Amino acid sequence: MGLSLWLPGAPVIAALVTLFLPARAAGLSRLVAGVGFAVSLVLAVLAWAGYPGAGYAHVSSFSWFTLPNVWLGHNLTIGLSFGVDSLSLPLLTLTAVIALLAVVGRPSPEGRARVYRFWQSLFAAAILGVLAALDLFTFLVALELALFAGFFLIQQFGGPRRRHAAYKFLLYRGFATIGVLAAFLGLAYGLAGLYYQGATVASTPKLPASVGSLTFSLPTLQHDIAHAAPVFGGTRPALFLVLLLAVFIEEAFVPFHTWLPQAHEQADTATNMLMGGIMTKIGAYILLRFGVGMLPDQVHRFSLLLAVFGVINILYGAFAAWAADGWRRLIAFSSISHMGLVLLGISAMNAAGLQGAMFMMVSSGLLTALLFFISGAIEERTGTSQMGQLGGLSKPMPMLSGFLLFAALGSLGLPLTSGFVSELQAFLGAFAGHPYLSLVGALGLILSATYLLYAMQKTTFGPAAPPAAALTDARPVEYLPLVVLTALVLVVGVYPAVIGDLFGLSAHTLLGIGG
Amino acid sequence: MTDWVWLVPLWPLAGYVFLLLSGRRTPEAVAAGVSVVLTGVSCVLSLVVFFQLGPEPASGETWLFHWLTIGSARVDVGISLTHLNALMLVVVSLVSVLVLLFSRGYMRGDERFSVFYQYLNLFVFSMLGLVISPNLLQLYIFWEMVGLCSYLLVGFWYFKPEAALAAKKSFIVTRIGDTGLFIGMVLLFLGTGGSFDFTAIFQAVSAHTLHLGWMGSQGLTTLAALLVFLGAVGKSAQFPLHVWLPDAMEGPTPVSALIHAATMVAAGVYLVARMFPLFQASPPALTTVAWIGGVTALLAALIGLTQRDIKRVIAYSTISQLGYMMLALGIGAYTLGVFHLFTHAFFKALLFLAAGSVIHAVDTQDLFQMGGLGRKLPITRWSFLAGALALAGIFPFSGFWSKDDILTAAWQQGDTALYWLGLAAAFCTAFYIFRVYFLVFTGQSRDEERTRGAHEGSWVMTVPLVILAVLATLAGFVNTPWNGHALERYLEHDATASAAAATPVHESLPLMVFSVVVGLLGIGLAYLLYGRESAAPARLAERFSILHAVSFNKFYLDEVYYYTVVAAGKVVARFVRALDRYLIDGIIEVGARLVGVLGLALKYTQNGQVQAYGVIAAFGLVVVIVVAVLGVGGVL
Amino acid sequence: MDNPVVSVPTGSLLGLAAILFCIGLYGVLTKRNLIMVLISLELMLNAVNINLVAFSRLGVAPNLDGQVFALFTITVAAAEIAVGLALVLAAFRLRKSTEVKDLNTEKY
Repeated sequence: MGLSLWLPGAPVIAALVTLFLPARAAGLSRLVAGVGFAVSLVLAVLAWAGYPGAGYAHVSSFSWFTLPNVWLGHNLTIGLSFGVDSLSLPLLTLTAVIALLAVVGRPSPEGRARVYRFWQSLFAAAILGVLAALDLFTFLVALELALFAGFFLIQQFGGPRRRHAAYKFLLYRGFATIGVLAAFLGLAYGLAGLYYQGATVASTPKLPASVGSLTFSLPTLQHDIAHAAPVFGGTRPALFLVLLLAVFIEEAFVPFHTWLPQAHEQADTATNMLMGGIMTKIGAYILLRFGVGMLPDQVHRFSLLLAVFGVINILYGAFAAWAADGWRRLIAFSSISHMGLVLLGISAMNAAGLQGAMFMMVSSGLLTALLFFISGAIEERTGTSQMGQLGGLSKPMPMLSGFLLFAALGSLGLPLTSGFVSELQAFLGAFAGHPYLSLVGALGLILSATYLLYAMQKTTFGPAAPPAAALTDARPVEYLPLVVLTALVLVVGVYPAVIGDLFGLSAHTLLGIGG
Repeated sequence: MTDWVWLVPLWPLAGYVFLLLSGRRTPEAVAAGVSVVLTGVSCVLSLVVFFQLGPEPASGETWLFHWLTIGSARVDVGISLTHLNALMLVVVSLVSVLVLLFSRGYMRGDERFSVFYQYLNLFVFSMLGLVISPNLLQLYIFWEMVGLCSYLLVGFWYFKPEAALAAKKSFIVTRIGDTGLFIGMVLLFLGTGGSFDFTAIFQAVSAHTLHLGWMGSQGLTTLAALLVFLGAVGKSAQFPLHVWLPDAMEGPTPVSALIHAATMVAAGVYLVARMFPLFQASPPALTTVAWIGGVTALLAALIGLTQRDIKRVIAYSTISQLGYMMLALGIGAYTLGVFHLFTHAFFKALLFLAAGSVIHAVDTQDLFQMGGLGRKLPITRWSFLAGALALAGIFPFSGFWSKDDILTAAWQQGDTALYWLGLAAAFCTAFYIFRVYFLVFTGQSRDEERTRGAHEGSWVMTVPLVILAVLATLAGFVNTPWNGHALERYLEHDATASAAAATPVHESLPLMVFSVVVGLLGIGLAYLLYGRESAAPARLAERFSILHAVSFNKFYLDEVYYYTVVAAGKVVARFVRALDRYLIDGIIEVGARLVGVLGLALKYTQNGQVQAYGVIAAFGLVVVIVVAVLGVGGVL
Repeated sequence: MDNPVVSVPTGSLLGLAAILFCIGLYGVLTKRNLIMVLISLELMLNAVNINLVAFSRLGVAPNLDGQVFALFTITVAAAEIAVGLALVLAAFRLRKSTEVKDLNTEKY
């Protein structure tokens, strides 16, 4: 039995343990949550080190119960199944790192440590679960868990308009989950139904034996659908579009995006790190895993649609970030802009584009988390993250300002940061697929420099704003997230092959299925 | 010894890391000493490599390391040594050492002294890395790194709002060019079938195999060349992206000397030179390069005529001289462009450092607050004079050799329009630089308060001035008819240059004399107007007030850009914000409200009377039955 | 049919049941007094009983299952009316009323 179960398992146990701690034991519950994520991180690194180089590894599967005669005499086994592959490994590691740093770097809210750590552990565990799930049922359970945990984190511990933001978060993402569910059922039942379409199947001689029996297992479905591609025809576009709609909401693509900036404006810093850093990458993960991985012909077919939406998001996000008054909104929209590039990269359906999209997920995760952490630290000291009320922060807090500048530069894609490697590959892919649209999308390179440097100029440059004298620079405990995230951004930027080899492998695997 | 070339950029990197780790409390002497010594080692190594590099016409030796595999294309980083690169190493490291030394005096007492040296070290490393890149990607990486250093150093005095604005502007404007370079790079990668290597690109260009599905070889060559040139336009501050460089003068003066005169801004010229086979394959691209260069040379010279800020005058002269280099490359005179880059690095660094010395002494940049400083700052005065003569192109100073060759080449190739453009710019150049000279060093002080205590800086400031003055005077002799154009022959060993050498320049005495006379005329006019106390400049400005205003306000290009590009961007951003808030989110909010209102209305049916529910249920059943019978055709 | 008892057509039985049921339903939905509602409910149950008995004669193999069910229903109905009246009594003690409209506490 592989270790994958404990990737999400460790933080779940940590969450349960926190429930039995004294309600006000802030230090203790923080420690427990931290240990949970640390275990996940160690396991993720071990899984990475022990990855055999192809397929799913470290699989742990449990069947829970069997529903008899679900459909046309088929039994359906429900259970949990976890595993890792070259696509999910870097993302799992990223998740564990960011979750751990969020726990280490940010204290619990006053007096409500236990509840907070419970939901926080559960939230990150759910995201780990989504990424490690090898079964549609497991995937959905984890997705729902992330939805509710995120809802409570915002609704209980957010800013003044937290209820509004939380309900928006819940409704939007709930809708996305329904879309995912519909697409999943369509995939599973569609493949199972092939067995009964006697005539068509007869003309496809080598249909795998598993085709026709209802299953939710991801590897089996991937295998089957590759072989059944010719016969499983008519419903594929509909399935893909449903999936795509869910991805668009999940990923906060324009015009389904308004929940994200509002959630980010209300949530606390640690939650923002988790949401911006990893949760918003799940949509792209779904698109890669189920869109590119299982319905590649449909990605080809709707390639133009994806590219157009990608470019719209790049530009819309950039312009909205330019018009943002506060750092939280700016970071949210810059993340939307990044994900637009992910979509553009995927739309090209070539190795460079997919690899660039995967890089961008990691890079945007690291940089968004770093930016939220720093803006949270600034907000904690100055009481605001509105650019108009800040200024001259380089004087009282040179280190935080320095890290903020680094994060901004990484986010605008300066070479030797992860942002550049991602943009380079995504555009290499995109220009091969949609040259003219990519040309428009490349305007985002200029716009990102514009809005980030405008914000930098207003925040850290210039004469110091009045209360500056009393401000303090980063505390020792805050250096850990700053340094680790910065180092990771640099490592990926300076020597991208560290994750490039794995992502290259998954890009080839995904494209190989497409034929 | 050429095997050791990979060490050259590493010394400044070591300096950067050292200063990064030692923190901002590092004593000034340690920070400066370590930086100067380490960069000095690089400089010595560069010189050794330069002189030991053999005459093989191959594209030099290349060392490569695996960086990333994109799709199936392997991307490497490494080091490539060509004769052009070796020359650039010498120029960069030599000027860097002198500027680092000078800064010890100029920046004395600044509370972020060691941070300043940290940034400078990073810059030197990036610039050295840039000039030895074996492929376009690595060049682009360092290209952006030097841009970053420029941003950091222009904004070094971050608390000054002008410095903050200038830093932002310099980064964003060059970023526009960089995006062009980025796209050009991507297209070349795709066009060559997956390589950033210069050699692979040149092979594809010469074999006409550069192609994409939607564009043929010739079209793609021109497009890529123009996009690459856009990058050079941004970095080398060519029209129409030159607006950032004068503002960048907000940075400390040593930075202006090193980054915004001698090295980084010349990177655009270097890029075009490095990619020369690509440009050669596309006549339209070459013509564009030449004309942009010519126009920039004259435009910047015209603006330089009337500026009041000593550093801005020199900045416009930099733009103008970079225009000359582009002009040279554009008419195919590859080696001459590089030669001018070489001499310009010395005399322009000299002019900036001398200006820095003046600013250090009087603490103002306004020319009309200076005057009569020649007696108080003798070393600065004579070295500035050497630089000014070199810039004005007076025999036998270095600028004469390189600039005159370019004009001669333009004349001899029949590009007479470009020749006259260049000549007009040369006249203006001679005028404005001597206007500065006369205003600063001769006559009477116009502001006794400021100039009373003026004195030379310590040896760390004067020694670099003297060395650069010597170089500015003599550097031109590396490429004269008497030594058979040694530098040209050196550069022609490169495969990239050998093709360009097909059209050698024949020195022509009449042309030489003519251009020197034009330069002297400019100097004479400057003397007439500014050499002695006179009301003539004011009268002239009055008489031609419109022309004066146009020149003084930089042809209003800043305003034009602000009210078109920037304003449009802001309008779109505001529009998007309104769209976001009122339309997209508005629809969602209204939808949510509607659902809420519907719920409010429906709750009144929930009146607690079981009998009411029963009635509804019974009628519902009847409706179902009726529908089943009439619609479907049977209950069962 | 050699059954000495006069045979009533099934249709008439079903018609009777339907009429009884409708009367019962009408009473349940309209009567204000809980006692009356309970009585109407009994009518509806008896309508069902008639249906059960009527249908027990029909089918491929006619048997007594339907009549057994009818007896069962009568038993359950007796229990139900007992519980129902107890509830009405309890409600009356609480509210001093057996009117339906006074028991709408589950509103909204």
